[in-house]
Amino acid sequence: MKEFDISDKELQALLKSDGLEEPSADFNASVLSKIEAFEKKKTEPARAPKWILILMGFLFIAPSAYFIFFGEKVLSDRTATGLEFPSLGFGLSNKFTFVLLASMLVIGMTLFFAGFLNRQTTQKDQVKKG
Amino acid sequence: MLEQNEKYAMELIIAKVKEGDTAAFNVLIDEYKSMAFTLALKLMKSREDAEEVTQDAFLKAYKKISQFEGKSKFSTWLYTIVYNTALTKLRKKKLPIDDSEFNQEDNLSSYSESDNEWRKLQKQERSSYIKQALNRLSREDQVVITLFYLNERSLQEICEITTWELSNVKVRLFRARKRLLKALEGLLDHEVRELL
Repeated sequence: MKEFDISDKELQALLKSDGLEEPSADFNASVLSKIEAFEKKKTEPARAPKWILILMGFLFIAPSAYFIFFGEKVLSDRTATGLEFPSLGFGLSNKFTFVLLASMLVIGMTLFFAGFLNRQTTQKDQVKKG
Repeated sequence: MLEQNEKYAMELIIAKVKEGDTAAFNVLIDEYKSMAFTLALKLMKSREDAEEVTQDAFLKAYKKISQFEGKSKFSTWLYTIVYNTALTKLRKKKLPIDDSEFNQEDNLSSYSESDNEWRKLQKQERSSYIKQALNRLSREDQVVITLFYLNERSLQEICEITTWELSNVKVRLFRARKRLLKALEGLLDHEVRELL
């Protein structure tokens, strides 16, 4: 007995006659509203998540504040124990050097986190070039 | 000539979208939403999920339109996004991607009266059987059948969309077609048996 078969053309015609599936009536409006929200978000300044702000505050701002107020005392106490520290002050006061280093550290970490967040967003929406 | 004009019009629309024209993007949504939704539905098997996937895919396409360089057709690029978005969603939902819900070897008898029965059917009835048979196939079989027969994508374009090898696409298409016809045969045999 012959095996059941239909031609490629007939199969295509049948699949096509069944037609394409249609999404809901408000499909276009939903996509456009998502685009509008995206455009609005794009113009807003970037905001770091709260946990990053808290972490940064804890790790950098608190120690910086500590050194601003007690930096000189801590350093002179440690020098008194006999430990020698290389001088990085270039003639500047210790307090100023600590503030400078702490600020550079904060800026550096901010750039690092910004890069990290940016990379995360890029990976999430990755699309092949066409 | 007509094809050339269409290509030129599409390039203009895409250039406008790249400038941030959402009205131009709305034209693209109108043009491709049915095809994209049909493809998503074959993978997601739920209208709600398919709609979400299609919307996300259009949003991604809008965000990344600058990456579209016109090396392939816009539709092929869009279907690639739809396909990948659907796969990501399926993985998140922990649903199997290559599901073999239908095992034609066990379910169907090899030879039957179905060929004669098929010829007797009205066009509308045939269409309904095709739909039922298609639903019995695995996700990947449905995707390859939809892309090739319904969306009229070439084998090369199917490779681009799915990232399968060309030889793999050919084999999958051949097997999917065979499975679809077997499923159809099974459905018709069942009808004949019920009538007897």
